[in-house]
Amino acid sequence: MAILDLKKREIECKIVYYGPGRSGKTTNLEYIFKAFQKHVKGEMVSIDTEGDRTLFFDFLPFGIGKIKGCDVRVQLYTVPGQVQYSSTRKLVLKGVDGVVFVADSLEVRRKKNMLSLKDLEQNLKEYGISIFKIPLVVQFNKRDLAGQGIPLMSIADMERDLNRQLKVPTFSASAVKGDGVGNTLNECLKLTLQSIQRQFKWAE
Amino acid sequence: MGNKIVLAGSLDFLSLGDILQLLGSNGSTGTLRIKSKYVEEPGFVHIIEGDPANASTGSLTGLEALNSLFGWVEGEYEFAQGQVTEEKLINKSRMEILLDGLRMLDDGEIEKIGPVSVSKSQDSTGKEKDLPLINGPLVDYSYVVDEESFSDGDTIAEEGKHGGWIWVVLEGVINVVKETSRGPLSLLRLGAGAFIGSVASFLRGGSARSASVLAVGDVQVGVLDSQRLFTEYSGVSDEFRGLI
Repeated sequence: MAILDLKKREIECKIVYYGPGRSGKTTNLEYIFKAFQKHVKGEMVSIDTEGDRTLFFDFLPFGIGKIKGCDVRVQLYTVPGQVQYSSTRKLVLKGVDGVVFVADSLEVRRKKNMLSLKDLEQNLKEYGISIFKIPLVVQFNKRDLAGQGIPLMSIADMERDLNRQLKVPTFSASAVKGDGVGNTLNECLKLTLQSIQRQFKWAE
Repeated sequence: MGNKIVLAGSLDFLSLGDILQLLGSNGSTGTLRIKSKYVEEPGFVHIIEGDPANASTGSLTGLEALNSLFGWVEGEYEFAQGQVTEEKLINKSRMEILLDGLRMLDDGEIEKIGPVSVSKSQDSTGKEKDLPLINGPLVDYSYVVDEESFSDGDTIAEEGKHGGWIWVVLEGVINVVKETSRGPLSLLRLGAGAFIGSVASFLRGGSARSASVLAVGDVQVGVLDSQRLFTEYSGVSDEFRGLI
């Protein structure tokens, strides 16, 4: 749910990176933080949640224009998937405007990807959000490992596993190298902002 | 003091995290006062231009006090707008305070203060209980016939499924989770030496698991020799069986 700050003439929205443990969510955000430094406002908050760290920072995408004369500020988060972090997940997912699902291309993580996606659907449902309606992009991460002889799932298989019903934009990536990270975020931003514009249009 | 109360409510509608975010994005200055019927002294959070500057509870001050307030799951709050004269002891950014505080709450490092309920009918917030880690007695390897490894998030046993064997946790931590109408409710966290499964699993064939067991981090479990356990169980006296 995008927040409109009339004092600062700013629209604040939230994009969350979700996915199974160690799929590369934090790597994605760390890359964005470094590579797009001039778009970042303030410091990166890093919390030592067990398994996956929770990351947060403010991102100001310029060059995308204003919505209703207001600048857009994006809060980027990763959220830990472990069962115990329900309060953290609640704070982060409540009012989320866009999601990037980072899937692990390793064959051994196939089931984990699907369970995590199911989890996301469940968590969103608890806040009255349908996974079919929210701006969502799926990233197939760790593609670079193919060159190291580690068994990866094919893009076709991953599309079938994860995107058969959702039919959202997907991107191949190697977050550790930075490949595909920017493209994934850009598409998610685009979809999120389009959704926000629609919401404000209805309010007219 | 004469400061005006501009916002008041109940923690089961908006949590402390929600209120701090609200006051934060509003850039408010003033004092948040929180009362809980489970605590004698009220808690205070002093906010300057949206950022928590100081806090106090009966025995704590500063960030420690603020963190402990995340554990107050039930209570009423009032925000009085006005100048804050207390010293600025808290310097962390608002988001870091919130995310770290909730992490500590989820990890069980902050004591939850409120009613404790496990049954579905009373569970109004659907929150997970504060779980201490329970370790079992020393593992007697003579009973372990096989070892299995699980990684983080794996389901070791699933509620409703049938399983006739008993495991003992060799390494790592497991979470015993039951499905409720509000989602999964964690019942127990078990560590090394604790057992998964019960005497019922080898007495009656095909009993359904009463809860799911999930791995937290990497876990090694040992499969116990149910046959041998059953033989030993049949050999003990009736009184002893009544105890088990």
